[in-house]
Amino acid sequence: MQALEKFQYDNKIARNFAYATIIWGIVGMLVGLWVALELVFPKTLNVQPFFSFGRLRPLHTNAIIFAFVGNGIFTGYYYSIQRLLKARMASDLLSRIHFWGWQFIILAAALTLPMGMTSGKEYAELEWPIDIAITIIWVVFGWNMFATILKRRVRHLYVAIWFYIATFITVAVLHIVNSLELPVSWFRSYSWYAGVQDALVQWWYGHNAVAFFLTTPYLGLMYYFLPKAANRPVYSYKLSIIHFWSLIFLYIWAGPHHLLYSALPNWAQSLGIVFSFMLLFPSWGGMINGLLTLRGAWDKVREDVVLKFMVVAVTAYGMATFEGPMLSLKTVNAISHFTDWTIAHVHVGGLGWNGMLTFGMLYWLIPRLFKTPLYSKKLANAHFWVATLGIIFYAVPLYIAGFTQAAMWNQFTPDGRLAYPQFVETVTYLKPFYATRAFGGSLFLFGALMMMYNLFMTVRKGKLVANEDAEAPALEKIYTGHTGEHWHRRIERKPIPLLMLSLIVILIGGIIEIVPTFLIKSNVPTIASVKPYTPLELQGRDIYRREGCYTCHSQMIRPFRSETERYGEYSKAGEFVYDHPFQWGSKRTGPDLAREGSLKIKKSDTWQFNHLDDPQAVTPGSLMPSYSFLLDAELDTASTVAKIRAMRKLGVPYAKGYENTANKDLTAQADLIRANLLKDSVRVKPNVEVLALIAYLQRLGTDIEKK
Amino acid sequence: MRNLFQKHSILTALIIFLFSGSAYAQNNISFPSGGMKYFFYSVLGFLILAIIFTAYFIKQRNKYRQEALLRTGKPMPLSGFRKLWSNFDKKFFTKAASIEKESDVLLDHDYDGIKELDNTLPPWWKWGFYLTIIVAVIYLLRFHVFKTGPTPEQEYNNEMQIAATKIEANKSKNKIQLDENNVTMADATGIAEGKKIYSGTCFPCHGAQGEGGIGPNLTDKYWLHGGSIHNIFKTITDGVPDKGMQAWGKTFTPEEIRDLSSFVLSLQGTNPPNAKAPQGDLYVAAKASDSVAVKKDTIKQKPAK
Repeated sequence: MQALEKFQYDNKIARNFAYATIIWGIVGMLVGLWVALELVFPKTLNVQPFFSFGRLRPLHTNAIIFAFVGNGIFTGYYYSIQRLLKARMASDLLSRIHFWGWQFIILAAALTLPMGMTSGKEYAELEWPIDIAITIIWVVFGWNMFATILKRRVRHLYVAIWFYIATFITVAVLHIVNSLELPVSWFRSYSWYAGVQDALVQWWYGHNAVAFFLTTPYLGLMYYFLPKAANRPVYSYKLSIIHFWSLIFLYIWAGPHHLLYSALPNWAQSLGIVFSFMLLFPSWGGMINGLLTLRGAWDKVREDVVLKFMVVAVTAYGMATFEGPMLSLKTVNAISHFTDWTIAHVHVGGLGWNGMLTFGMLYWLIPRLFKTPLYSKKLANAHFWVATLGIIFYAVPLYIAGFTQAAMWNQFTPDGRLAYPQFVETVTYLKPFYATRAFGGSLFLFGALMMMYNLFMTVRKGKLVANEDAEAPALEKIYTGHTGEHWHRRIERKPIPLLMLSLIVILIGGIIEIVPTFLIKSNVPTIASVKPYTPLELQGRDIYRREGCYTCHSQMIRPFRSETERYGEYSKAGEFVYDHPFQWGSKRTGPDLAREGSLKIKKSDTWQFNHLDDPQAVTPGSLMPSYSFLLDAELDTASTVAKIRAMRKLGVPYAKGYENTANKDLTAQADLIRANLLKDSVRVKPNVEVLALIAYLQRLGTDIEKK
Repeated sequence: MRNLFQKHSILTALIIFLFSGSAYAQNNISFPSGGMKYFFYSVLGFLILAIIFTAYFIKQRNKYRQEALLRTGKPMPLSGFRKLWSNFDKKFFTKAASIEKESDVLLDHDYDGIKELDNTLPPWWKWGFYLTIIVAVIYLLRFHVFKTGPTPEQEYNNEMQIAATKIEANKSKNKIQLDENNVTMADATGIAEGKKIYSGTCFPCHGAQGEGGIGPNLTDKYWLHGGSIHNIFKTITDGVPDKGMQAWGKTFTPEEIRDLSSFVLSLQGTNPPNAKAPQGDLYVAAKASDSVAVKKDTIKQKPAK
């Protein structure tokens, strides 16, 4: 036995992240409540342009995922990893850079997203300068982690740390690959990929943001805080090993289940389905290892509010990971996709798993950081019940709403017409459900405020132990394993091979799915009549993306009778080859727009104009925000040159030098639309943004009609 | 008492919620037939029950045991069912070492005080995992090697074929199909029905009183696409996509379109305020005795049967 070494844990960094978690959590939930209420009071709450649904919804998702859960991860991570390694963080400076860098990124997101600076890809909306900042800060986090691991005083790495390592490396890969984009100005860029390929990369990223940002790091936290709070040994070491490796291997394949029945090649869809299905038991491995750890401690669960939160969190995790594979089955997905069912599903995960585990962790952690008991157990208990009720009131109405809307979309009368041919009928019907959901959300938010007060009072009572004394013997220089030890122990004492092995395991699925889709031509059959957008349409598309239209409108008609009857011919892969980024969307709060300009559902320019100006006047009951500011906003024609050039660099076949005459074409097309509007006595200024948006909408889906 | 209150507040909230749910369901929505409906309700039920049970379990699980322990000083004996379950669990379900014998499987791992047990993988979990892998392999073989499963395109074509047969069968049942050729003016009830459709759908473009706006004035004698009941029926049904008039034939039944066309014709000469300037040609109905060469009703009328 070597002599004990004395050192101190850095508690300040855990405290800072804990504060950030609470503050950003409340901000994120508040924005969520706001957007939920926008669906109930669309006319009053959609304050344009900054607070309209399309701009705020990305802010809500980004704030919850990266600010609330992100800071939650780092809170638990900084507290637990020092103790699991018996070492202080390698560099306090790097920890501080990580903290302030991350908060700066969040602040930048909170400012740029309402301003409409978005890449147009879900959960990856932040523009390229912020993407670079994220990469740098992520490397700082990883560097500091490995430097600490290398100076550890515990030979073997605990399962929580395997999850932290897998999180670090996979998020890095996902973020970099998905964010490859060509900048055209400081806050505008085009995705490197187009159409089907962009969709595949995006959902490979999107699903694994769920997997490796919302799941694996939180499993790591669970493996530390749950046995700590229950004071029980972890149920099964074997299960930890099997479910860790199978989870990270299988998860990475699951992305295509977001694109079932889309224009994605069928083989890729099938891979998404079967790998999602196989994920069920590895996911449940985490749940049962958590719940069975509580064996013999269930009496404590009754008393201890921390454990209550954790039990509901782990149960919600189990429910969401059961539902996930089910939603990936084609028959179920055909109903659930594009409806509120998906929103309900992610909130069982978000509110239940991430939210409740974060709350439990904070109630356990803050009193320990401040060496004082919790201010009020009663209040924490009340928070638990309010939050649990909040989840029920949130999820149940949305399950009903989703299923009902799908049923309405799919219903035909005996003489073969759509029973609800007007999309808006299916939306106005949902309003009471949206109101109930907002009530559930406000309960959850209220609970979080109760927690903030409770923890604030706890902090006031106590005093931060900024540097906590600890001691442990240094590692022996030479180590030989026990005879008969589990084979996995060898990996656990070699952090770099563990990192490399995780990397290999997660790369397999991504490579097998993504590379052929890029290299094999038959996967995206081209269509001769599909031509690049005109300069005005291109500008209009950028407005479409800026306003976040994709948050409510899909551009993907699935091969179902109910969809081809409603929207026209189902979407083909070749139609999207010039779409940088793709805008297929994932939710239909409004109708699909893939063929908005095609003969079957085409409306006049004046209709589009009036509808953008005041949607409710044209479509009574519509939930769409007004975009009347587009009527006066001048189109930034100076950017046309850079945009055409960038598109050509990405492979869109604009003729050489076309950028120099592009604005002439742009004005001519805009004047044509103005003339159309004038026929109906609508006068608009030349080169206003609404003209570009109308041009884009009228172009949508028309290519395949041309001969 | 407090416990009771907490429990009841949840129950009450749920009851209120479920009732309000049924209040939503006044609109007649029949769910698609088949198993999906039951699947959905069972998932929903599973969710609600799971949350309630978890909450209840947490609160009540050990109450009786603890009370029994206090009373007798001995742990309460397991009931028959519990014994059965515990046996099953030990032998087949989780195969976990019992809590009393936990030290047998305790590993020498220690991470900041956290220990690990060497319990075996729960057999139900292991076999479940194997099963999903087998299903996955079968799925891939079926759809991509033997190709016995339909592709999305095949599924779509099948769906369209079935629909076409159904529609055909339905058509032969209703002998007379109302169309632009045999349509006649509706009666007063029909016109009233047409007015309802008009004020729900048409007013944004044609004005609340037919005075016109985005679309043309419907109250004057000038028509772009003909002013007979037949013409109007056709214009509404097929639309004029180039000019922005949508085709409503998929939205409304022929009877509804007849009512709507009749209502539109009933607006003739009402002279609403802010009327849009006339568009199109003067329309004069073609009479049998009349051969004026102004724009005629261009649709041939079939002789009445």
